[in-house]
Amino acid sequence: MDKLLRINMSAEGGPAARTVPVGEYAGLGGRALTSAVVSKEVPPLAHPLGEDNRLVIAPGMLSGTIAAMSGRCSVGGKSPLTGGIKESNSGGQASQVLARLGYAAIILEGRPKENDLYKIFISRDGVTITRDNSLRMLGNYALVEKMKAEHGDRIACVSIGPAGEMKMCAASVAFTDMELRPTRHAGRGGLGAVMGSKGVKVIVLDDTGTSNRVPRDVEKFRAANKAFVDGLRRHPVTGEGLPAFGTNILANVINEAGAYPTHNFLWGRFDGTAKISGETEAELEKARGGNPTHGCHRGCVIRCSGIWHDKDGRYLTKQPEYETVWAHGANCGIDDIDAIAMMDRLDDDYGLDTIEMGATIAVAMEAGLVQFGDAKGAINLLHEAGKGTPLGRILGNGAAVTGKAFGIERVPVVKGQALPAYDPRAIQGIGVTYATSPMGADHTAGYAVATNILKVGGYIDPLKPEGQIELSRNLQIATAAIDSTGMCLFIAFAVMDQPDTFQALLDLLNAFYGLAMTGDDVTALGRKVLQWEREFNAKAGFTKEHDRLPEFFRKELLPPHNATFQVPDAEMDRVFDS
Amino acid sequence: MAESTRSDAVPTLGLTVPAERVACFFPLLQRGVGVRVRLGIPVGVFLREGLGLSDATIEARIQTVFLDGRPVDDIEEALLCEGSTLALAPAMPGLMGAMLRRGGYYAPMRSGITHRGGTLPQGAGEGEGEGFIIVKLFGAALRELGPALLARGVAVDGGPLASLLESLPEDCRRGLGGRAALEGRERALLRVAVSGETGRGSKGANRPPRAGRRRPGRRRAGFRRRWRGCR
Repeated sequence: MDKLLRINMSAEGGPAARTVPVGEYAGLGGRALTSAVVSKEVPPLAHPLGEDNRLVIAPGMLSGTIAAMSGRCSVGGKSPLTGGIKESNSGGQASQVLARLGYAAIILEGRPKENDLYKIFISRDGVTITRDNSLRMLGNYALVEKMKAEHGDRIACVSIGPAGEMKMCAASVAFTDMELRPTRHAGRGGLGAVMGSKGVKVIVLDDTGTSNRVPRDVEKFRAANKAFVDGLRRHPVTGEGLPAFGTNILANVINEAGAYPTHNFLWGRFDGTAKISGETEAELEKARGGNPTHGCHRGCVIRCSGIWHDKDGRYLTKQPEYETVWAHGANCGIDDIDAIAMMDRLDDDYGLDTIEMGATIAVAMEAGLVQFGDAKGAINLLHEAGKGTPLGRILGNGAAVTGKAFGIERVPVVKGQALPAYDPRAIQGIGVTYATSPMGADHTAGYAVATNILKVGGYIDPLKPEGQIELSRNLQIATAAIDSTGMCLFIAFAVMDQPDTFQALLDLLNAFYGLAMTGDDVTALGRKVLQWEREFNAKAGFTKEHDRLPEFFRKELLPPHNATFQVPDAEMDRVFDS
Repeated sequence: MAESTRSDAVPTLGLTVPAERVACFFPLLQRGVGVRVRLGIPVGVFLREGLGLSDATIEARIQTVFLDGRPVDDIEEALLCEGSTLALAPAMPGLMGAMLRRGGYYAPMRSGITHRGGTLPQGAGEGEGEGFIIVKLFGAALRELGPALLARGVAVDGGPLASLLESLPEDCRRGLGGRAALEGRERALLRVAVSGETGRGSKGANRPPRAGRRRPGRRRAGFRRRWRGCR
């Protein structure tokens, strides 16, 4: 991973690829690399769909090795949804394959002069860029089947669906999984639209003839990996809860807490939660011949995903995740898990972010386009977006645009991006992260890595009112660091509770690169990444007034706790003071 | 095997099902079932005495606890009263899971909804000292606590029970002669025992455990009077 693949889509004579040394970006991976490139190379005021924006696809620092959980791939650029910097990451096979091919990142630059679509094929033998307009408006599933027919089944694909081609702000970038299905997505922020603006429909990666990356200290690396895996397997969340029930194990619990946004964030509890919970999903998957315990990439030992079969026992989609089930379920008043699974499939095929589309449909329901609870109506709205009808063009551009188009005040977005599945009135702390993350409302922006392990920002008195502010800051720093390693964020549960597992992660990095990093160094990296991102956003025009939740969270009581969001603006402005 | 008994007010349905069918009843446990408890006791006492869990098991396996929708940090301080809703789960994933964990480092981030224990609502716990609470089980707690809870007997609303019975696989439905008697009832007591055999339904089934059974008259009085709860 000592080289970058830069592809200039607006080069004279057609798109041109060049391989260059990684240079000033050496030692960076994942989110650290995407945010470094975007902050240094993209003019902050550039149009997200213009030729000056970049789309950066970067494997993690340990991708392409035998390290467990090292298969996240970051995608970065200036977001058409938020107007700020964006990193969104995904599982799937591409990260491992890209790293084994030796690339620290693929950087798409410029924009084709004509309205053509391109396929990029990358193998050990080089890079081939082919104009292929026959791919136009193919869904991700059909597209991958076509790539399989052309290149065999030892490939991994990074692609966009029709939504990306139409440059919709809710468009995702799809990654194929172990079964070569386009089920994993860098969903947030509309980066699929940026890929569409570059005219790139699909990047096909073939690592035939390559081998795993070799660590500096092989024995130490193996030992660290073993300790790391042992730590993940012995932790009740990564070793039991997630493998058995997937991420949607959270549904019942968040519902019980009264923090499960229902009917476009009107209530904190949904009557139909037991019908769409992770526990119910897992039982149905087993009964129908699916699989509730399945990894999204090779080397995953948590295996929080699964395979969903329809009522007739046929594959439909991967196991819908917690956020997806909430967005298309409770938030829209829908308790039909099969309808939700169908919407997951459609989102994947059209190339749409499930969170953004669920939030958008709920706003559309509030506007009266269809009734809350109308699963068929919700599915039809997704088809409108996927087909690009005039209504679909509005919906596919997200909740904020849809709210404006239909005159709806209650639109749950921050910096234009829809809130995920936790109501910040019940859980005030996550509201701080939603509001202040440079990414827009993002549940993964402040994930759980213990500050007392990372020692970010010193000791925090949790009883002080400002404790939530400091926790949110420190979590955002820690998350940026984990995202930069390219490790699945779900390792955070074990790392948080088990200092030896966190040490094993450090040992993995140190043994691979011949370093002597400490927790402080990882923290410093996280700080630096956040600093780059916030500086970019400031130059793009963001102010503290953008670090706010929508007004209705302060005004409307959320049953059952009848809570409003209480953290003062002045406190929120302190999140990044130190 | 089904055993349907009926008193004037609270019908009781006893079922014996193959081990692999116990999960059919988990939707009920996710929604919540009525469980008879001594009123006024802390959650910790109920877990130890009511469910028979050791301190070590509670520490390791019951890391997420809600009482009346509020996350509990100290299970020895949170008291059960008539109609309380108690939800039990293991450690949960994500930042939210970490926040909701009892006594967790991130608990301050949900301080606005944290359960403040120590006092019973006025009037709660009066009378003969027993009453019903609603118990919900999530995640691994379903498999770890569910079968014992079902065997001990749980009170279920008639509507959800009827829906469940209709959805049961055939090997669980065999012998459901008393089902009709339950229809239209506001609530019923359900006991589910696991057969020693697997996949063969009721043949050779164990009878529901006698432990915890009470005289119909006494149960009926407490159940009916207290169900509506103290909130």
